[in-house]
Amino acid sequence: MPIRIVPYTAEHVAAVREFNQRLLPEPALEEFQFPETPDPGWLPGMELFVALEGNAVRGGYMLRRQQFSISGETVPVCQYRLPVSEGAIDRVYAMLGLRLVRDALAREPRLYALGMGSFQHPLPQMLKRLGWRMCAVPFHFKVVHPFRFLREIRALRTTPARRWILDAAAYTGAGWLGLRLMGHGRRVLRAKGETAGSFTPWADPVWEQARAGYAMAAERDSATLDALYPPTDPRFLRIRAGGGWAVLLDTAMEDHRQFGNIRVGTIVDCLAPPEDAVTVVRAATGTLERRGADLIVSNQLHAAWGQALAACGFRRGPSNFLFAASPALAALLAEAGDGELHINRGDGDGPIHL
Amino acid sequence: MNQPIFDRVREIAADVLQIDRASITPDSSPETIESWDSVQNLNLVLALEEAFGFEFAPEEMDQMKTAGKIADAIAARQTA
Repeated sequence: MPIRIVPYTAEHVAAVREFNQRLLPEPALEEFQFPETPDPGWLPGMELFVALEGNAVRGGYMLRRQQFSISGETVPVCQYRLPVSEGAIDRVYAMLGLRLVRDALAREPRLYALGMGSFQHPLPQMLKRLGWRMCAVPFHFKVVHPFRFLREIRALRTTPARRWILDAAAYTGAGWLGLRLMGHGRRVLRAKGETAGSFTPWADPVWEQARAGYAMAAERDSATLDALYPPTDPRFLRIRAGGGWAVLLDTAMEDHRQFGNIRVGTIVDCLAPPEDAVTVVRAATGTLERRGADLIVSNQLHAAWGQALAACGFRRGPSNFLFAASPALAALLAEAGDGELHINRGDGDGPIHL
Repeated sequence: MNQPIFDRVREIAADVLQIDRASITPDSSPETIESWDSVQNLNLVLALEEAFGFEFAPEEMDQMKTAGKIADAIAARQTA
């Protein structure tokens, strides 16, 4: 029976639920449940599509329509999001992954994908084979409280031997010394920014002034930012400093599978003319240090933000947060290096899992 | 089935899937060949598109469940 890819409507909900149930026994697909409503209401500009074989749903994907500034011009771009196919559990549908991405490209040739877990996962492998431009968005981290970090960081405490070494480093002070030698001890406690309850209207001139400094950046005007980081959501801290701003999260983790019980500060999103990046990062880092964060993390692709983080004592770790641009989008970026693109955890799905 | 086209499909599939071409029959499919997973399926489709010089339409991809059906889809496209 032929497979049709159509907009997701209320009549498909029961079939989506059955589709999710078929995927559920596969542990690797736990996070790939398709929304059981055609209007999940997560982010503005979302469009959902399902692949139908008769009345059965065999897959689906989402597009998130956005405006990007590319070399100063406003260009419509879509995020290609959560493509999921029955081909993951049944080889009869092995063609469907390719059909989904080609269907999305037919609707909008300028696509990007973000996150994706690892270069080894099927989606990034497929996109790379299809000629998409790929890179990892660098991960930056700063250990503020070495003792708590060494005692709690489950991502590193994976074997009895590792736990023993990390405990020894914590209790003898060797870990503190080692991390300090790596630059983690350099505190910026006195750097301050002005807190803000929302982005309206002051973020508009920041966007207009800063956008020319980036080969590519998703639109970050006040309306977009207040939709992404709602003023009613108390989790988001907005800091103004220099000619820009940052959005921060300060999360007390509880029994987290990677962070254990430490307090993780995240510089989720930020914008300023590139030359002001260090002022913004200092204010953001100082704010999180004063609030008691044990560890501060940030994913930033643009070189100016990476250098600003390094100047504030951050170091780079391995990153599985991938950026992929379709051939049509990559053609618009042909003159730009990866380090000229402004991509961070505020892009794509926004600050999830943080 | 168009034998010359099937032979070419078999040659390309053997190369992509890293198996002996003699083991590929018209009924061979992702269900019968272990290495024919979703990633290798993509590689096979793209290799065939490069070799024959066109992109498969969605309705053609629906039909391409076996090596023989793939050869049929290519033959139909070439006579269209």
